[in-house]
Amino acid sequence: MDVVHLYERSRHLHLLDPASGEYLTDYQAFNEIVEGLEEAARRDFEGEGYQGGQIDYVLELDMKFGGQLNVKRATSPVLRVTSQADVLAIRQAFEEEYAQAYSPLGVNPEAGIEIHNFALRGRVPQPKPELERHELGGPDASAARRGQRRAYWGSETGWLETPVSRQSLLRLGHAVTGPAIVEAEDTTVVIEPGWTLRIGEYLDGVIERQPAHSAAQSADSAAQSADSAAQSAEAAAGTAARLAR
Amino acid sequence: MAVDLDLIEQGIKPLPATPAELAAMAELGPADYEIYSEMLSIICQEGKNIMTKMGISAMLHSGDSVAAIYTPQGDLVTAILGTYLHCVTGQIPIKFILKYWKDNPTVGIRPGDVFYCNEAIYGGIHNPDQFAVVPVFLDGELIAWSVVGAHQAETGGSEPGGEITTARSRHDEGMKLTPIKIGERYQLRDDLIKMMENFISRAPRMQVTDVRARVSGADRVRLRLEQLAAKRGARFLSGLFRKMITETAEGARSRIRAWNDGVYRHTVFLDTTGAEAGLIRVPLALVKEGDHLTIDLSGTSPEHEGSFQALAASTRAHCAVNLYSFPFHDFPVSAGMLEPIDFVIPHGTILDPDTEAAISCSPLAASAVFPLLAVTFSKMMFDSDQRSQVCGFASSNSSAPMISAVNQHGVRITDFMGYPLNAWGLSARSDSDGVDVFGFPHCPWGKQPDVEDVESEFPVLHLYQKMLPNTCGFGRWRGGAGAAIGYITHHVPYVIWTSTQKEAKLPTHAGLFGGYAETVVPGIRLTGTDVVARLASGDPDIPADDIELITHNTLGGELHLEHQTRPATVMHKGELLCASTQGGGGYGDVLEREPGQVLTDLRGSVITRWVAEHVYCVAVAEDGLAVDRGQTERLRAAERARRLARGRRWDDFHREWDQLKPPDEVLKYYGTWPDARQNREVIRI
Repeated sequence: MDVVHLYERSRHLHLLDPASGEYLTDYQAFNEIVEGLEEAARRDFEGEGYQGGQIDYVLELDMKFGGQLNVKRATSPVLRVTSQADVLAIRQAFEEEYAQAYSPLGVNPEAGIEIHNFALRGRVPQPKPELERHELGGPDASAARRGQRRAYWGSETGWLETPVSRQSLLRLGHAVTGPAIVEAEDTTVVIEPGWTLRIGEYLDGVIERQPAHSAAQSADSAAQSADSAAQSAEAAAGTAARLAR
Repeated sequence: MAVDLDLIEQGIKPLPATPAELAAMAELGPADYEIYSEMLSIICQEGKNIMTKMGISAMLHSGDSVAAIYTPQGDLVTAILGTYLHCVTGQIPIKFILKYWKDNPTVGIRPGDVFYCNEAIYGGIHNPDQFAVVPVFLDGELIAWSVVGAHQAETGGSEPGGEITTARSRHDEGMKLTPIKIGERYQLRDDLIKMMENFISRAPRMQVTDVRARVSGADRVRLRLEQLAAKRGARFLSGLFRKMITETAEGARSRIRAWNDGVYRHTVFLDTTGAEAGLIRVPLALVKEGDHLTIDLSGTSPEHEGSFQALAASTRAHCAVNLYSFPFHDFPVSAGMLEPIDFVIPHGTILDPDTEAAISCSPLAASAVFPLLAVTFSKMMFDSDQRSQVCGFASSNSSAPMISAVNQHGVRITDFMGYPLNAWGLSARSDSDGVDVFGFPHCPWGKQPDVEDVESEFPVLHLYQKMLPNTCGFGRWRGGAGAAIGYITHHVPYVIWTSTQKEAKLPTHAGLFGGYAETVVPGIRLTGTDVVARLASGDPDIPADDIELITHNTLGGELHLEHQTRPATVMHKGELLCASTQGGGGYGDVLEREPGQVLTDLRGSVITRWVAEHVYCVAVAEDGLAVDRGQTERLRAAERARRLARGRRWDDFHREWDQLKPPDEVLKYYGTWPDARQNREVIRI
């Protein structure tokens, strides 16, 4: 998670004055607020041991068309205003976000455009953990099997001798077809008749419903395994192709 | 084109179900109604939120608004409110468009069209209420309508504020639009926006912004309905719509059937025509027979040339406020509710004048039905499973001045002061006190604006804004208290205030089952002084509310006490206008209120000591911290004895009462005495 600090200061500025039709010319009023917020960010980050240069900033502005009560927070494309082009860029960004949130029918700059609040986000990005990726194996998950036991699968299916596998031995590409039990260190995964667990590249798993499931088929888990093995091979091939790119 | 009376009178009743709709309704699966009726409410809520976030006018923000869905024929399926008035305002414009514009080659109805209207003759309340009306299509077939609207306090009339106190006819009231097409292919026409902006030149920015806000809200509802129809089909939608209408109709009939048959009566009085003070009568008979109700306003005073009048559609809408707030509050809001209910509103009275009449102040007149239906329904519901709905509701003096000025930012603004409009007391119920400064009876979900937001956009400084003692109706259960607000004109050389209010001389409400009426609210102004300069000088002796201002004015200048109904009045920088609100009516006998509760009222400044002793007959210790129980028993016994001494047989009382008559000068607009028939010529110019 990145380290983020938020700073706000309220200040009422007319970006576009409704009475005169003129754009903001007091750039200093805008810039000194952002400078002040950046200064506060630098102070706090440096206190935490970061360098000023590591910080990246995003400025948001609470804005409205003149006369409105509600403000809309929009992202400013610039951190400093040095020319009318910058003012126009802020206007455009606000109007685009406004049109998205409400409706293009509601954009009304003739009413004037006002800024009411400055919100600066300072962020020092942190390294993100890489999740280990694994080698692709085939769909045959029998290496993870650790016996079986009687389990009750509901009134329709009743008691079955159910294969039990160990999660820590499952690999990318493996498919386990229900009815089956997978035991993990911290939980138990139950795969119902008509569903199949497929293991992904982070050793995560997705349990998917098999098409055209019926009670009769659920008793024949071996046949199912063969079917789903074929499907897994396809899926694994697809995964492998993706990984190879 | 003559006024289409048939459309206006029949438009709010749902059309009979077609065989196709009934078949589609039968096809709804288990839980389809429960899930998708809620989804339609959520869609309406989204539309209302969009409009509210985009708009400017105070009433739009307070919640005097609507976002609703209608069948393709124009019957209400569901609505998010906003103001319950608008349960019955969208139907007639839609039916007007279908009747007159659908097959008209110069207009037509096509995907991407946006219609707009505010003409009260065709279903509205008055012209400040503006509506965006948008058709919804699927594969070229019209499958629904969406209406999103809100009140906006400027119409370009002869006075600012949209409710023209001095209006003599509709021609003083500004922009009135029968349903017109203002947009095509999902774009608004700039020439028509400009036209409206031009009409509303006292608040042009508000007009344009709020048109866009309404249209955007309606457009969002359209989009969501199209997405839903694409997923489930038009047939599913039509079955769902019909079921929502049917559920309410059947539910309403079933509840009505359970009440006792009878005729329940009440009468209230107004104290002004808008132009002149005077006594006006409005009686109501609520007739219940089997599963049917008739609301009969026969005997209402005749129409006049003033502004406090309402067309029948607006009168029906005000009745809908009561119906949806209390007896049928738990039913889906749909056209079905009006299936078992009929109205008798005599033409030629203040509740249905000639269409040339001034009606921009229609809520002032039509809200007479608030206490009327509250009392008559309370009489009917007391002996029923709905006893919890017995409540005096509210009167409607409409406490809320309107301001018009060039504000401190150089922009022309005109609007209501939102706080007083949303700070009335709610009357007591059969088993509990009312609610202090609860809100706006037309709109239970309304919101009071914050002082800071008001002072940021309007050139005013609040001298005070607080609850005022003795404003509530007393009783076994007391009504809610009202508030006192003082506005100083600030930042600018002057502003113009109007206040379209009533009940400065007598309250329209009268309490319930022996409870007291709430206060009247006098008009108070202070001119020829600079209150801000006084504050700046550090003078500590500043009045803290209306009572202190009137009894001990330390601010200098000239104090005016007048009727609250005031036409446009210029107030200069530093001058003060008070805008105080009504309390709610009381319930039951004051002598039955628990002395401990009276003490709590006193300690909370809801009442004064005088009221505790002389009205409630409760003796409070000198230090004000405890009830003297012995003395209280003695006071109450003495009052009961006085009551017995005043007692008369009914015939004797009636004989004397029949002789009484108000002075002729107050009966000018009443009609004949006592039965209020038309007895003068009404000439409108």
